[in-house]
Amino acid sequence: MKKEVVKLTDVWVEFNGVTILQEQNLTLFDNDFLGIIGPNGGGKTTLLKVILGLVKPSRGEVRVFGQAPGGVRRDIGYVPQLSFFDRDFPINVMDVVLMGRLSMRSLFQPFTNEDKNAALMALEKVEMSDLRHRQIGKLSGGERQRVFIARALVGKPKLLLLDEPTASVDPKMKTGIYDLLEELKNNMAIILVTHDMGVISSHVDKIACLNCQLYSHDDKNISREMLEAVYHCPVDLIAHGVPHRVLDEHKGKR
Amino acid sequence: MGILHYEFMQNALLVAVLASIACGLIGALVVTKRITFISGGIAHAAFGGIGLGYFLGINPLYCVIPFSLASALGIGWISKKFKIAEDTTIGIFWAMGMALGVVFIGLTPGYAPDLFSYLFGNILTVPRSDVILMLFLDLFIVVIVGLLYKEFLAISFDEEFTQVCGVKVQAVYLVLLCLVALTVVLLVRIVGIVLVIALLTMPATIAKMFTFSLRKMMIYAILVGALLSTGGLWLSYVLDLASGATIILFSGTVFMLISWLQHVHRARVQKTD
Repeated sequence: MKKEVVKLTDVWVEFNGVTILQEQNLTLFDNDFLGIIGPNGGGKTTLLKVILGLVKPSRGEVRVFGQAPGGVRRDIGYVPQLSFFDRDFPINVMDVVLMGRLSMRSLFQPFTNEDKNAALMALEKVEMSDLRHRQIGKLSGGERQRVFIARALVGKPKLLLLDEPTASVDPKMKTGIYDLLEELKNNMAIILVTHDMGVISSHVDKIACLNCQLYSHDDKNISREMLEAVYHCPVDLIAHGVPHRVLDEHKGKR
Repeated sequence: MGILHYEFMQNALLVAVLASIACGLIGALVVTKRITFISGGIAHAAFGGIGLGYFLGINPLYCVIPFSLASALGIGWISKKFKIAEDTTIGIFWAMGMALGVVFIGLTPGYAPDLFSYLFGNILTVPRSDVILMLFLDLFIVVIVGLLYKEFLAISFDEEFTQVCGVKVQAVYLVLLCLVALTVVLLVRIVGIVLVIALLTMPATIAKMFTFSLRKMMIYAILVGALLSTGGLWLSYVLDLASGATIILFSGTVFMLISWLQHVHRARVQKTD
């Protein structure tokens, strides 16, 4: 039997009386690759933060590797949403990736050569080792995203959470990131939050739509009903750049 | 170089170097983590400690240590605990600390000597006992920054990710604020609480223009700080002006000059590109 990695049972999250997540039930197994799509403000990032233990649910139970979240941080790799940051920040690529080894070193303990080797290997995996001495602010959006993926991988996680890793990334780099995830899913469970509805279908095993409530399907076809329930309006998907059709043919007359 | 023969001048130079060490290390963190305003708040709240020192009739510097540590922890803790915007908490502590100082000094019978030197500094009158205190504070700051370097860098760059890695982010942040408080204590004798913030930020900001490594930034900031404070000290001697204010004005002038030169240099590089 496959090992359970994440299990959410009836999880609710509220902020100041506003319900962000409602009745979340989700089970993720080893080597699963789950894609989560949904509108902005639908709670996608909050869901990841619940799994990370950064947001406490107001109701329900969260289990990550059978434990309360927060206790297993060493096994989780996290690629946060690209947000504004100081482009002049005095840090180079290598030191950013080393941050991913913080969970393995205690307070007061400096990074070891083992950490540095692991960081270098992670950078090689995302093909960024040549730029390891470059200041992080001098990278392009796609390069920076790769560095953040390396930072998430350097701790050898068993669960990888990615929040919009392909936002503001050019198409070629995007393909590279998806190819990398394809390779990684052999060794870990992955949850990918994205806007990229067209592309993810050809890579993920399961898709869920999130708008406060979670609509999950155990296969990777996005159904029209699912999307309409999530976006509260008729949605048409045009899939481009994908080798196969994502959606079923529209039924009935238009 | 005849002025170096005077003992008070040798003392002043030693004090300037000691201050530059704390300034460079903590200033680099203050600038990269962008906590200049909170540092200003801690510095001004420290005036309450000075007032308390006068009131109790003991060395005000000994009162400033617990007072500024308490305000550092207070600002950090209260804004988190009661979900008040941090800049609001800073403003409140800033004003309350100064108000307390005024009340304490008002309650103290007689005239408050040297009060002006605590507000605007006087590097020439630092007693030996305070120099020794500064030496210990410096040592403490160097050791803690050395031990927590990777955590300080991490929380400055990406607090959330650091938390995900299991680091007690809030505790590390409070330790950093306490180090800022101790640096304020170190600087009070030199430039006074009103001018502390300038000496904390200017050397580090100049250093940041020449490197993108936090470690190097700290070292450069120490060197720049030593040059600026000794240069300002020399100027104040030659021109017979107040030492603290002269150091600040000299540093500020150099800072603006370097910023302008860098701007010109960048514009030229862009043109040739």
